[in-house]
Amino acid sequence: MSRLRASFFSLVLILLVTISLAYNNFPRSIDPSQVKEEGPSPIELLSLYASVGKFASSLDLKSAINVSSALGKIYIPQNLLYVFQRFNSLLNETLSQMNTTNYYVNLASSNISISDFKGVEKYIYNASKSLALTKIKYDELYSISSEFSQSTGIYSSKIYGVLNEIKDEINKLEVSIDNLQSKIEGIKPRIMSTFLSTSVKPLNVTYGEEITITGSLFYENNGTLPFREVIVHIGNTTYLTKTNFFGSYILRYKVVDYISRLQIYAEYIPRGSDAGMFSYAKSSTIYINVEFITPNVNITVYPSKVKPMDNLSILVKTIPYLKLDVLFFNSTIDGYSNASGLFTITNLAVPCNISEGYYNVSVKTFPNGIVGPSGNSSKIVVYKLNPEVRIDFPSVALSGLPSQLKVFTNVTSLFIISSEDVNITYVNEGLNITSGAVVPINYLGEYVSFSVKLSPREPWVKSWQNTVRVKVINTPALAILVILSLILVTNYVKTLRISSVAKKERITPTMPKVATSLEELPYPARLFYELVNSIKALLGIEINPSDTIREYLSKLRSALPEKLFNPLSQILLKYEKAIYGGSEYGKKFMDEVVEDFKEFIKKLKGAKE
Amino acid sequence: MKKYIVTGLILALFVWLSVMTLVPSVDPYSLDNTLWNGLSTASRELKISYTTVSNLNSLGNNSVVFVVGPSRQPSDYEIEVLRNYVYSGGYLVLMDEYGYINSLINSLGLNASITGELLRDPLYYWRSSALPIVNAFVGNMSFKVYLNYASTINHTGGITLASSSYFSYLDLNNSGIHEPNEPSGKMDVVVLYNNVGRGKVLIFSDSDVLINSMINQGDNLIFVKSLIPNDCRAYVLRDLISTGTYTIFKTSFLLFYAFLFNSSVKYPFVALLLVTSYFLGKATYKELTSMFKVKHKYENVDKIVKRHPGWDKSTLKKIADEVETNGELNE
Repeated sequence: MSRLRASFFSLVLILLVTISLAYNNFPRSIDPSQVKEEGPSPIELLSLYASVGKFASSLDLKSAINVSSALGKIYIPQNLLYVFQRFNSLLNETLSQMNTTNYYVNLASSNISISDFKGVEKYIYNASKSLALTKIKYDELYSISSEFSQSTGIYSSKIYGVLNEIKDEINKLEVSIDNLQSKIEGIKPRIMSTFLSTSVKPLNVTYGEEITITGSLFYENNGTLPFREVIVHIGNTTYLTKTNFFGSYILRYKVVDYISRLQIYAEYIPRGSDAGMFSYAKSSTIYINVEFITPNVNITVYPSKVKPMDNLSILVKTIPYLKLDVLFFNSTIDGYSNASGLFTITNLAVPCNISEGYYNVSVKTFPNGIVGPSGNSSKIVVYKLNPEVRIDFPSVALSGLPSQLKVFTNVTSLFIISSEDVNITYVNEGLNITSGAVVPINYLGEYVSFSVKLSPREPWVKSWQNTVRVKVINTPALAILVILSLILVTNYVKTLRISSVAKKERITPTMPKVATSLEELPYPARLFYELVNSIKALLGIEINPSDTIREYLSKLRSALPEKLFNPLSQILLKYEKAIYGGSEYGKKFMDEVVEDFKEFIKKLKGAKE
Repeated sequence: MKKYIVTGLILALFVWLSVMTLVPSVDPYSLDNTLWNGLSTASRELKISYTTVSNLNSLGNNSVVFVVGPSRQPSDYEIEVLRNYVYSGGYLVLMDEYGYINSLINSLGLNASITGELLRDPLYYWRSSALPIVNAFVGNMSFKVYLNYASTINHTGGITLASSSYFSYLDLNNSGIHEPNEPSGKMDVVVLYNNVGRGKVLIFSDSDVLINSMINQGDNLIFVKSLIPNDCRAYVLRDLISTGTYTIFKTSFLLFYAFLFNSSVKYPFVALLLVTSYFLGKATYKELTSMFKVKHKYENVDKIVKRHPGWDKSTLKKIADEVETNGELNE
């Protein structure tokens, strides 16, 4: 038990020391999970809300919305999060609605300047609708501002101040809408509606043909507007023309666009004295069909799978005598198709520094009169061959002893064998490399990594790289292992031999020499046997060779009277002690035994007589 | 010494070594510390390993070395080696809020310094104003970086990658409240210097961006990943990090263990272990047998007969019987 207790206490002591060592450092950062959550600073929060109010009051609503969005990124503890998010969400919605309202007000104002009254009415309607929504959101915002103020610690008067600034702007927007409404109601009765007609002839043309665009500009009651500017849109281009004395206009246009469906329409924007008198007008849109030839272009590249520096051919098939450009690996080859519409390029070399992959070879034809532009492309694959590489490195290297590293390939290459582990680099150029490497004798690592790099001189062969690991056995370490193993084996063999000898001895024991007569025995033993013989003569009880003294005494116990047995047993046990008792019972003790023997034999003889 | 004390000590030593192997380090910025202030997650995510100043020359150009949370100023020798590393094309990332690395920054010829004052942001933060959130930009990508008791960087000529919000301020007296004399406004916290010799230097005024409790907050990990080229191997410089006694023991033991079993030393060691185990096993067997085995009354007789094959075994057995009965004569 005491051993167990001692072991246990030692264990506990060492564990306590370990734990105390583990916790003796003082951390210099803070564990975020242990930090008590803080609410945002009311002063900084207020400054942000104040900027929202400031931007809103100057109708810079985009900036106000940006600041308001930034408020959403502020860290708020969980218990305040709902109120904060709700307030900001309503603030954002109010500002967004204000922005929409403002957008429609601006559109309505700009449409008034070009006398587009239909547009103005539409935008005023949208602005009014948006303003109504703004007011709803604002009222909701206002209703929770008191609770928001209590939660964030911002003075309610300050929050109300910001909200009042927003409210003022909402009111200003309302006034703007009213003003626009009044303005349009004031101008509209004085404005005369204008109409613009347009027609195009012919509606189907061939490339290069001319079209005639005609139309007229008139106002209510079929009154014409002479000498007014009309903007004609043809495709993506605009042309300016003027109405004649009769309010008509005419524009001739040669179709040179390679667009199969060409869009045409006209616009009238009242300017100068017309503004405030006539309305804006836009004609209907007319589409004309343009016919031109899109030539078929076929491009064939053969072979379609090539290596760097391989030659290839390109065949372009299109209509005769067409100018074309062929784009081939960043270079352009131009030419014309022949009478048969063919254009051929042969023995075109693939650049030597090109990487593997897919590439496009494209052809582009140029327009020529009725023949429109066209083009096509074809894909080719550039590939490289893998070099055949054979590495002949030893699987195991002994430190301090040279090993041969061999690499063979089928293409002339630059070989680099390097190892950072043992700091060696071998470079060679040719079809193979053979070098002897010696791992330092004191190298204790388990492996040495060799990096083998091949840079083939031929551009159509891929570079090759691999890492080879060679197991290293430290020679001195191996020697120690062998020596220690020998010691172990020798020791074991020795033990085996001893045990086999002992076995052998047990099987054929060498018997010790045995005394053949009483004379050869020591004197005390002779007296012992004399005593034994005397008892045999007296009682007929003898001692067997295998009997111990005590067994012999047991035999005598019943035969001898107690008066005789007791002293005899004392003498014989004393003799036993003298023989087997060791150094404790010396010569003096044996002499006493001898005297006792003599006396008892004498007593026996007397008894016999 | 008593046998049981030796046994107890050996057992305790074994348990101690086992505990040291299994229980990770608790040192701040330790790569195997899995607690809030360790770098175990960063080590796994960024495949970071330790390096030392003496190893810097062998790292090569496709490496990035982090100096995280230095506990002292680097020595002249360390500055010299780090400067050579950067000038020859290395990528050094310095993370410190106390300004210990200012001497290193100066020696690299950079006009920058860590102010060493606590940065607080009363609006843009996480849980506490001392854990500010800053905006970072790399190319056209933007990140939210969470800091922990950070400082700021005064610099000219560097590229600012991250800066605090306009509401942030330096809490000079650690009161937690912005006072009129305390500088406030947008302040730089991550600055990059390209072309320092052939290398580059990235400075963070916070060493905790990558600790376990911060690395997964906001875009911290993505931000740091975006700054490290894919083919770069990342290292943490061990020399400047404060290392506890426990870590020293643990590291020494693991190094010793690795030396024994991952090198050729293992061959003689295994042989030695075999020899020792042979003799120790033999001795232990004897000891245990004597402790737990019930002694047979004729066991000594067998031994004597083994030693003296000529002696009569039956006689010896009788003597053994007599010894067992304490010398009493048979009835």
